[in-house]
This record gives sequence, structure tokens and C-alpha cells, in this order.
Amino acid sequence: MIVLVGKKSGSVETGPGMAELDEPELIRRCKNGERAAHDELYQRFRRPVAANLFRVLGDRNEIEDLVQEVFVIAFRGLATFRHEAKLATWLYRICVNVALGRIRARTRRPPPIGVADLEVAANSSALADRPESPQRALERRDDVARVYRALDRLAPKKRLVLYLHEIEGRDLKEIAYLVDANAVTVRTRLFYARREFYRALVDEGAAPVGARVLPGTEDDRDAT
Amino acid sequence: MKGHIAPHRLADLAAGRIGGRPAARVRVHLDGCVACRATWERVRGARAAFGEIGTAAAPELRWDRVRAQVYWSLGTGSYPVVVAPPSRWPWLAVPALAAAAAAVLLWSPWSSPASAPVPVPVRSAGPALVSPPAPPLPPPIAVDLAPASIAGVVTLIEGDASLQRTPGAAESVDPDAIGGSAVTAGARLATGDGRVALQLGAGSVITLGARSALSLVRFDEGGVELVVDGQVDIEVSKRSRNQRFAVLAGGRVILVRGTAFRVTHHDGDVAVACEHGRVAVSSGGATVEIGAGQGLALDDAEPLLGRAPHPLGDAELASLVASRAAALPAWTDPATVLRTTAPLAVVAPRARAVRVDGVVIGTGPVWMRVAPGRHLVDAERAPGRFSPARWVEVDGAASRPLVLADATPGGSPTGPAAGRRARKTELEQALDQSRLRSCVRALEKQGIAAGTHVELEVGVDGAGAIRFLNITNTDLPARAAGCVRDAVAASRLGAGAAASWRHRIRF
Repeated sequence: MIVLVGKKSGSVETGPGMAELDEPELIRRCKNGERAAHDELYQRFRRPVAANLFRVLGDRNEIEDLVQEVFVIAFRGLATFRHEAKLATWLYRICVNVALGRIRARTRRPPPIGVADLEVAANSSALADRPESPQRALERRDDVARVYRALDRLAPKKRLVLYLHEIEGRDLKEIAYLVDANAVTVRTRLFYARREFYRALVDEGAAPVGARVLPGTEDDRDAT
Repeated sequence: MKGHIAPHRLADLAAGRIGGRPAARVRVHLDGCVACRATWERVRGARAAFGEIGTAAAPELRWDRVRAQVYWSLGTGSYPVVVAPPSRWPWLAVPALAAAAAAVLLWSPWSSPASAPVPVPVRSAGPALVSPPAPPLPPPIAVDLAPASIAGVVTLIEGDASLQRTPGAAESVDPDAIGGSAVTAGARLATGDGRVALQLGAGSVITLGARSALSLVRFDEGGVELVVDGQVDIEVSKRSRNQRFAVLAGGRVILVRGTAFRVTHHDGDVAVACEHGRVAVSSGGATVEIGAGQGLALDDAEPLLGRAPHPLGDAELASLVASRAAALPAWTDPATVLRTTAPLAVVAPRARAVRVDGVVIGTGPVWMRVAPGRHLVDAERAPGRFSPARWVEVDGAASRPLVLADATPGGSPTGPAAGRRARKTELEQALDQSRLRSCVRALEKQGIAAGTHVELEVGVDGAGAIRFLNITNTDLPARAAGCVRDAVAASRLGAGAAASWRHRIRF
């Protein structure tokens, strides 16, 4: 589900009473083609959508275009929205698909991760109040950059599953809905994604070359 | 201690997913291994970064610009824009403001006395804005924008086929049941060795190839969306002006412009061949147009960008034409077609051609819709040689199969529908349910076994021995599916009809 964050600048006047509408009523009005309802939906979910795309992709290049794509798909698809999931979950599913398409498209030409973007990621609200040394801040930025570099080395589907499980902490059923796959498939995909991701993470630095596995610690029985 | 610890197991330790003795062993190893300690530090750093990434705030964007682009995209697309009734105040404000401006000009001390007109009492702008409200507008007329659903009719079944009319409904393998009523959105057609033809309209036929499945995700005047796994040949002659006709094959979307073409999709690999007309293949934001006599083959996850179609050979073009089933000549609507045509079932040896009125329809056994009346039917006895033709009287009732050659035990694996049904029931009763359940016990513990399935292609000879048993479709892991297959193979059947069918086991 998309987590709502506080509304800031750039607000859109969505008409009297629209802000108080509950979700089913807002969807009903959107389906009726009311522009004010569309505005309100955009107003409510634009930041969560942008934040989720930003977290999945790790850079802000073309985020505007992707947010636009998500809302175009959402507005066109609202007619077929059947309330099987919350609107936020449904929107997040669209985000995941749009991000997947973006990852696939940039596989040919992976763009560098901008330092400015990493600063945004590193200066998250969770750590904003904690005083830290410049060296620690640098290490954090390095860690975040390393995570995204390792993610970039995964296949798009594996990357998304790993992101949703390891970073967002979602369970298999949620991920299965979001990526439109069977829970068993997700489980298998996640197993290989985790193995490849952590190996890629370690290979960047001083990896134990020709590492052998301790008996009972490399649990290939998880792979199904 | 020899060896190193796999990084993802260290991540499990960091996340607290392993504990007890395994965790203790890992910690002991970490104490004595410099390389693994370095790995451990790196994994811990990454896990700390996860928290930061997961709570990163949204970047500040040009929200108004994004919003404007969203509406621009919607306005230029096929999105039905419903214009809200205009507010009356802007219209009243314009003359009111004009009146106010005129008043200011008239009373201005800089106005020339010569040109100043005779003072006329002018009402101020204030009262004009609030004075007599216009009569309320009549309520807008409700317009139902939902497109009307369409339906198709199965006109030909060659070999084995099954139809699931709605998701979750029971599968039907009886040709009379499959072709007896219209097929609508949500249906799923599947084939064994053979093909199925679904007619949508005059000259519009979808032919599903062997060992393929086709789901009608959307089927209305606004759009047709088909999800294919296997091979499908499509001929679309005429449709609604704004109807979107798309075939979804893995991650690719094939948009139809009005044409005859083939889509083959196996495990993500997609091939599109266009006989005439034009189709467009889209994927990942890229689009490639494929014209008449051209084809395009893409491997799984292969980028579409930069790919160009290749010309088709004569053999490929001939194959495209031969694979498509012929459309019923007189098409009005599904209900009328079902009422005015009748089923004709012909049991003939597998892979032997069947002719109806001198035209080769397919290979046996064949079920098809024909016009009521007398038809000349014959089957291939040997390659290129047909048995003496027989006249068949077809009326509007459900057909009794015309047997042109007996299916001998061990010869044709497919028997008549009744024998197939009996065999299917017999197998269901013979299955060891507890053994089947044990195959998915590990998944049940995780709560993800419900809804999984295994689809098997089963062939049984007259003595009851299982001649072949292939997994055709499953969403279980390979090991669990293999366990289910072994459980089915261990079933004992008695003597009876030789038959083959697709058997679906759900958990």
C-alpha cells in the first residue's frame, strides 16, 4: 500500500468538499468523469506515487514522466477498478509495473546514480534528527549507492521482488498481487534474487574468492 | 573451520531469520574468519541502507506541469472525457466586469467633457454579480459509456480441447458443451493435440493451435484483449471503429490494425507473423510495426528497441494460410448462428485428414458447426487416400458422432467423449489424495498452497495402462509438480476405452 505523506506546496484546488470524500465516493466520481475528482485523486496520491517510484529506481531522472504515466494509466483504468484492493494498493501496483518497464528500458544504457539523488535518499526523515559525523554521513551515502548498484545488476523482475521484500518488508502474498505472479513464483524469484544481490554486494569489495560454503549455511533447499 | 558463509545467509542472520544452533555456528565462524567478517560488515551496512531507502521522501517535482501533462495525454488518447456542466458564474462575470469598466470610464475625471456622453445611471458591478440567479440547469442526461459486450462461437474443434467459461468455473471437455453456447469475456480455451476456432463476426476467426491456451481478458465493443500461451492465428475483417484489438503475449502487446496474423508465445519468447494487413508489437515503451509478409521473433526479455521485422518465406506464408480455420459463411450474431447451424462430430484416426463436402477441415477427430442438411464426409485412410465418402444427415439437435474409423487400442489415444469422461472419473477416484496432499505440504505450511494446480496430459490405453503423462501447465515448483505426476502415475485403472485428456488437479 502507498503510504500517505503530508501535503506540501503545489496544491491544486480540487473543489469544495472533495478533500473530505471517502475513497469509494471519490472513485465513483472519477468514474463519472468529474475533473475535480480526478484532481483530488491526483492531489492525494501524487507524492506517494513519486516517492515509491523514486525509492524503487534510486534516481530522480524521468520521475516526472513516470508519475505522469502512472496517473494516465490509473485514470484510464479506473473504469475497470473493481475494489478488490484499496485504491492505494492498486496505484502501487501500477507504480511497480511502470517502474519495471523503466528498469527494462534502461538495461541497455544504465544511467549513473547522481550524487544529489543519493543525498535525497540519505537525508530521509528517519535519520534527520540524529546528529552524525561527516564520515558517517559519507558511509551512509556509500551504503545506499552500493545497494542500488547491486540492485542494478539483478534482472528487473528479481530486482522488484527483492526490493519489495527486503526493503519494504512485504510478504509473499502482497508481492504476488503487486507483481501479478503466483506466490510460489515470487518465493522462487526471491530466493535467487537474494542470493544474487548479496553476492553482487560483496563482490564489489573484498569478496572471498572461490568461497566455499559452510555445510548447512547455504540453504539451497529453499529453492523450489 | 573450512569454507565461508554465503552472503545471503549472513543477511538472514542480520535480519534475525536464523537462530539457535545455526546462528551460533555462524557467529563462531565469524569470530575466526576475517573475510566473512568483512562480508558481514558489508551486509549489515546494506541492511542499514535499506531503512534509509525505504523511508526516502518524495522528490519535489513540478506538480502542476505533471498534472497538465496527464490531462493532455488523456485528452489526446481514447479516454472518454466527460465535460462537467459549465458554471454559470464565469459567464455572468464577463458582462458584469464590462459594465464595471464602462462605469469607471464614464465617471473618470480625465474623460474629455466633449466626448463625455450624457450621464446615465449605471449599476455598479457588485449587484450585477449577485443579481437574479439564472434558472437552474436541467440535470445532465446520464449516458452509459460502458461498451457492449460481444460474444463468439466455437465453430471447429480438432482433437482435444477444453473450455473454462469463467475464471474458477469447471472445465468442459465435451465438444457439444464447448460449442453449444456463446463464449464471452473471462473464458479460457485450451487445446491438446489439435486446434479450436472461435468466430467473432463475419470473417473474423481466432484459431488456437496445438497445446495452446487463450484467455479472453476483455471482449467488448470497446476492446478485445487476448492472452495467449502457445500459438494463435487471428483473422480480423471488420470491427467497431474505436475498438482496440490486442493480443498479450508475455510482456509484449500486439495491436491489431485489421489483418490476418499469427502470434506464438512460449515461455516469454514471442514470434509474430503477419500475412496481410498490419500489426504493431509494443513492449517497454518501444513499438515495431509489422506489415504484410513480415515477421518478428523476440526472445524473452529481449529489448524491442532497434529490432526490425524480417520478410517471411513462401513456406511460412503458406503455413499461415493453412493454419487458419475457415469462417462460417453466413454470420449474423452468435445467437442466430447457434440456432441456424448444427454440430457435426466425426471420429477419425488421429492425424488423418477429414473432408466435409470435399473440403479438408482438419485432422480427426473433428467437431464443427455446419449448416443443417446432408453433407458428404470422408476421412483419410492412408496418406493421400480417402475412404469412400458417406452422406450424413445433420439436423439442429446435438450430433451423434459419425465414426469413420475405429480407434483401436494402442492406435488412437483419443476415444469418444463418453469414454474420455469415464476414464477421467475413474482416474479421479483412483488418485491417492493423501499422497497428493503430501506433495504440497511444505507450501501449505506457508499458506500459499491454496489455489495452485497441476494440469496433466494423460493418455490411457484400452487395458488401463497409462501410456503418457505430461505436465502441461502448473504453478507449483518443479519438485512438487513432479511429485504430483508420480502420484498420478501410480494410479491403477481398469480395462475400458482408450482415451487421452487434460486432467487438472487443484489444491
